[in-house]
Amino acid sequence: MLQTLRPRLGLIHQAAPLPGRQRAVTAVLAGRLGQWPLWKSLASLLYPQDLAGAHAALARLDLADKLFARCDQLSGGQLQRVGIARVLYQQPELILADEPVSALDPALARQTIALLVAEAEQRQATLVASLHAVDLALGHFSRIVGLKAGRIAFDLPVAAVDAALLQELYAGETPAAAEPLAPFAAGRQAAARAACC
Amino acid sequence: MTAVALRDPAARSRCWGVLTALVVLWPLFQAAEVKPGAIFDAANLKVIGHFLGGFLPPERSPEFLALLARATLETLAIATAGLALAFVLAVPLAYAASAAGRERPSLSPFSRGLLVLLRGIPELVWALLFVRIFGLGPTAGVLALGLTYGGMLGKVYGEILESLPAAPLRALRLAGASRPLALLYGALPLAAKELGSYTVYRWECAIRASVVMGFVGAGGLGQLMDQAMKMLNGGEAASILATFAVLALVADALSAWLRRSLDRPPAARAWALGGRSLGLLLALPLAIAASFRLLEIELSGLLTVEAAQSVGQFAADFLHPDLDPEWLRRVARGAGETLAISVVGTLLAAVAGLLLALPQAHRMPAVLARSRPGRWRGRLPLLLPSILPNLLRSVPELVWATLTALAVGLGPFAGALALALHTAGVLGRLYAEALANTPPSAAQALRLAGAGGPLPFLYGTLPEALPQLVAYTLYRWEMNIRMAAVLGFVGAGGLGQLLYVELSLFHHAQASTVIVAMLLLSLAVDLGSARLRRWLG
Repeated sequence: MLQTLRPRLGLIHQAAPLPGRQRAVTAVLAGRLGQWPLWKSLASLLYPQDLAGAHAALARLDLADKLFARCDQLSGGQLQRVGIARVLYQQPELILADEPVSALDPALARQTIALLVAEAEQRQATLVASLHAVDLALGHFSRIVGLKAGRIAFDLPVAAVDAALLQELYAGETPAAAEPLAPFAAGRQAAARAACC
Repeated sequence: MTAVALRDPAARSRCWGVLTALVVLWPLFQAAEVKPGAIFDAANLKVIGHFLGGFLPPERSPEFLALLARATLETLAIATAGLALAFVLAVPLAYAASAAGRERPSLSPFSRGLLVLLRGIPELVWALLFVRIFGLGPTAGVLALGLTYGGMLGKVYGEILESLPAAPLRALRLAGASRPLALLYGALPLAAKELGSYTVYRWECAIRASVVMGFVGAGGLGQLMDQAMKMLNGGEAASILATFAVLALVADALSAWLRRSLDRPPAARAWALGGRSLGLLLALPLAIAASFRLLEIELSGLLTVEAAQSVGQFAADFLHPDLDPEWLRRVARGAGETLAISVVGTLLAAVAGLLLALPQAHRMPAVLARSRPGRWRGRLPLLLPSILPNLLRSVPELVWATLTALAVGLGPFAGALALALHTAGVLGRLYAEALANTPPSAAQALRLAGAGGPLPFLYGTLPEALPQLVAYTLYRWEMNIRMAAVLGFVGAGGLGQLLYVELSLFHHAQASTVIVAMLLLSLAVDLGSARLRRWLG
């Protein structure tokens, strides 16, 4: 039951769980292992079965030239983007992103979040991301959930979130205490189809 | 986006790699006379079935058990005395050969060459030679172990010392300390644990090695097994095999305990040695003395004029190898067969080892989670996958060869199968450890994305663990080429068979050629394996 749902669920990890000795092309193609027939998955270990698809996914993250690079030759930010490319290639209906741009510089982070949001909108998918960067959340997402000490502080449309709310969210929090939990969860519900699990 | 024609740049080299492997492996499989059908041949099945049927019940008569106990003690004593000899040999050689603590690196060709020679010749060949000189009995076994393991210990000791940070040693030398003192103060504290742990590991190996010495008449359990096999006495063979397994497990546990105690931090006291260390230091010479006593080896007896003369005579014979082209051709064919046995045996073992390791690696966390005391019944099925590799590797290759020779007939295929059975146990355990040490996150992420069956392992775990698995396999191959060279002693083809026949006929010049070929072959495999490792890494 759960196994049939999993291919429809895309996870973006803060630290991309990619084997260092795997090439970016294989790491991206692994996103569809849950959808491909077994023979195709096995054949892909010998020769990449969808070079064009992997190339396109990486190209959207400006990594087309890294198609055949090994993951341990990539920088932390590039690795994180390969992880995102894998989820783009997987084409899930729900994307759960845990700090998806933590290793990227601000400009690249903005670009990447915009890409994820555009992807979700275009494919009518749901995107939920946890973010530390307040401006990224406010700038791109339609719905903001504020988390404080493990509890939901507020859950509002982005237009209703104002400076006073944010001030209250961060008030009395030492940076260290805020660390383990991302203070924001930003969501964009592009379709009526809600996440099913 | 421009429509580029995409092609995997690695495809061509992969294709060539597979083709080369096929071209290289095909003749090797031919030379090893791989014929899986022989395993299921009706006549062979009948022989092995009859023999295995005789395993039950194992022989338990009091006379036999007394014999077995005596042989077990003898095996332990051979290992202990042999390792003591090896240690005495290794320390000065390592000191002379190692570059550690020297003002400028020296090549020390003499000590290094001696180390290569000592460990290049398998202990079983040394044993065979010494049996010719000193007659049947454990003396030959102890000397053989002493020389081979002396070479191994000397090399590894030297390398451990060289791998230490050079700064503390240099500082001591600059302050005026002599090289031995600088090593004692600047290297030993850092290396003591590794040196100790390697020595204990070698002792464990020595027990396994001394088990098989008996096959060439050097006493111990092997001799007993040889007799039982020759008479096709299944009951006795079963009892001896069970003793092997227990001995191997006990040695394993003891060596693990000794190595763990090396990990304990020292207490705060002026004396460097605590009660436990003092006890060990006292027990060690006692154990060594008791071993020599039990084996009735008089070291002084080895230093007589007669012994020196017969060794000299023997060595003189060996300095004139037979270089007749016809004989060289036969030796070359034997070398090819030995190489084929080692490659085929190692490859089969790698496949079997992976199959053995997979269930273990999967269940490792489950076993740990459930390891509450008093829950043996629940843990047993989980532990089963790790028991099989332990059983496989507790039986030495040479003993397996006597069994596989029954199953598929004499010849190289029996040797390859014997190597595969023992090595599968070793690799199964090493692979399982390597897989368990691979971070699980990549495979877990794939499982969460819906990948099922073997896919999370193939895409997530294997790429990370592969270099380690390949390194272990190549390392075992280097050991197996030496083993394959001696499997012929029990009729499994290759160089060993040639050597055994020629030595029985007192053809020393021909035997010398074979030994030189063994040395060259093992050196070539070492080089080839190092090159493969670099190429794959």
